[in-house]
Amino acid sequence: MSAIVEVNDIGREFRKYYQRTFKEFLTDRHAKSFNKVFWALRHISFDVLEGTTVGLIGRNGSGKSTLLKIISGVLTPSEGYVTRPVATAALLELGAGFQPDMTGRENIFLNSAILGRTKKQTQNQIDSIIDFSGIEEFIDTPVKFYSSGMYARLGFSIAIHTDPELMLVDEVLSVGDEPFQKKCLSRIKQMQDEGRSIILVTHSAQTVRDFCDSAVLLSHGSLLSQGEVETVLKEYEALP
Amino acid sequence: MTNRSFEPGPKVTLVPVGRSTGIFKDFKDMFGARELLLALLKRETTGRYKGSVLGIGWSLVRPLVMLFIYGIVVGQFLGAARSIEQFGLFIFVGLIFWNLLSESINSGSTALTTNATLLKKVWFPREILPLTSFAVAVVNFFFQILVLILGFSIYGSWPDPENLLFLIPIFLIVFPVAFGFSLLFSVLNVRFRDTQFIVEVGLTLGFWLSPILYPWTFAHAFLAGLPGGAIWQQIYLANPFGLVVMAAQQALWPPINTEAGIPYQFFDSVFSTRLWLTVLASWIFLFIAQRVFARLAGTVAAEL
Repeated sequence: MSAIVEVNDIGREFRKYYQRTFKEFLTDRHAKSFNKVFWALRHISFDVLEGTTVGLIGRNGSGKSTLLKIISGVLTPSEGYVTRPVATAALLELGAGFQPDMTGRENIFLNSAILGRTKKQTQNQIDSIIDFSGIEEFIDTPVKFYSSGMYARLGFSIAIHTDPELMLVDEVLSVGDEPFQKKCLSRIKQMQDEGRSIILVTHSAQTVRDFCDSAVLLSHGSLLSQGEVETVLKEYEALP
Repeated sequence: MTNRSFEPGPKVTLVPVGRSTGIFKDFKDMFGARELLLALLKRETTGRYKGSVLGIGWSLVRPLVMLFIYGIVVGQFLGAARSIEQFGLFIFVGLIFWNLLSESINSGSTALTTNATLLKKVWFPREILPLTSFAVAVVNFFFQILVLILGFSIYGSWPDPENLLFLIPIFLIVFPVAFGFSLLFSVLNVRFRDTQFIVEVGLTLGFWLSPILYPWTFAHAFLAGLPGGAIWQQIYLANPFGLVVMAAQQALWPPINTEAGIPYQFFDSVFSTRLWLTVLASWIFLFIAQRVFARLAGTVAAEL
């Protein structure tokens, strides 16, 4: 089994203070605040083997979400590199880029295009996307009239229909009502069975036990341990 | 995995800011995202006018109002129409090319900031957003061309087909200048929000520094009278926006080859050299702008 994702010595620094205007740029150039940086992540390396699910765990502020954003490509690393499949679906923010005045159906095409799908590919799957979202009735209504649940359901449905080799999941499973959550979870199981790889960010030890083949533990931006689920979870639970 | 139900596709390597993977790869990525460009273009054109009666026809209202006002105020009140034949066509030819450039740069400079939510959440070639601004301006441009053709038939005079060849260098300048400035300003505007306001002021200035409402020879004659006149003339003629407008008049203003047009023609040989040099400079500019964009675009999501 080969690695589908390689995370190699990733680091990401943030400035504590970003200059915003020309004035501040000109006057504060040499001020100390300009140079203050902190590392949200440093020296993170791990592989995701093909067809496996890796749980990314850690407390708030440990850098999990930053790492997921770097893997998705939204944030650029400050050092190191990531290799991942082009066909990656990030279930980070469902429905990002929905256009309020456009209908659900029009937004399916727009959002799929943002996620790298061609019009033809979307056309072939449109029925399945609408069906899974469970909002057939309102699909030709502008999405500004949708409830937040409907919004997320449509977003989730679009994301899982992009035929991804890798999925990045960030606690979004808490959207929608319970039946829909169950539907999402069983769909994720199905995608695992299809041999797709998943990186799952969570606080919940139980989610890791249920879904993951291995786990990576982050704390204050460093990698504490990785490998077999129970071993990593033991360290996680021992964290102060 | 033995039970894989799909074919493994290509991979991508994500590298730190400033270590971009090269201009050819960037343009390849842009080409790969052409479906996205079309979808965004649809959002910005038909999507934008949803729920309005005139629909996309609204994009024509502003240029027509401009044409009307300038035609009346500058043409009749100030009397410019008396010295320029077919004054309505003269200013409209300049206006539509000016609009193409200014609309695309104006909306291009806010292309990243207005799409902040998208940029923070989804990865796609960032160049697509300023490129969409250009594409929207091109769509509006085509509507204005239809009005121009209507104008030709009202005046009953048409441009010399030979002159239409000027359109080739014109578009070879318009694309890199409009897209290049959009790339540059959009990414600068993320860090310095002053940029979009400076762009607005700059475009207002550029409008009057380009010979849209007056023939370039008027400015040329005035500048000759200043101390160091020849230098001012050269500076005036180096403005790529003005050059596009002048070339558009050469290409599309019907009386250019008649006796009435002679004072406004360009010196032939100097003109084509200048035009092709500007084409070259514009593409070099686009190259530089893309490199700057590629360097800075990686930090965009963190700064928005």
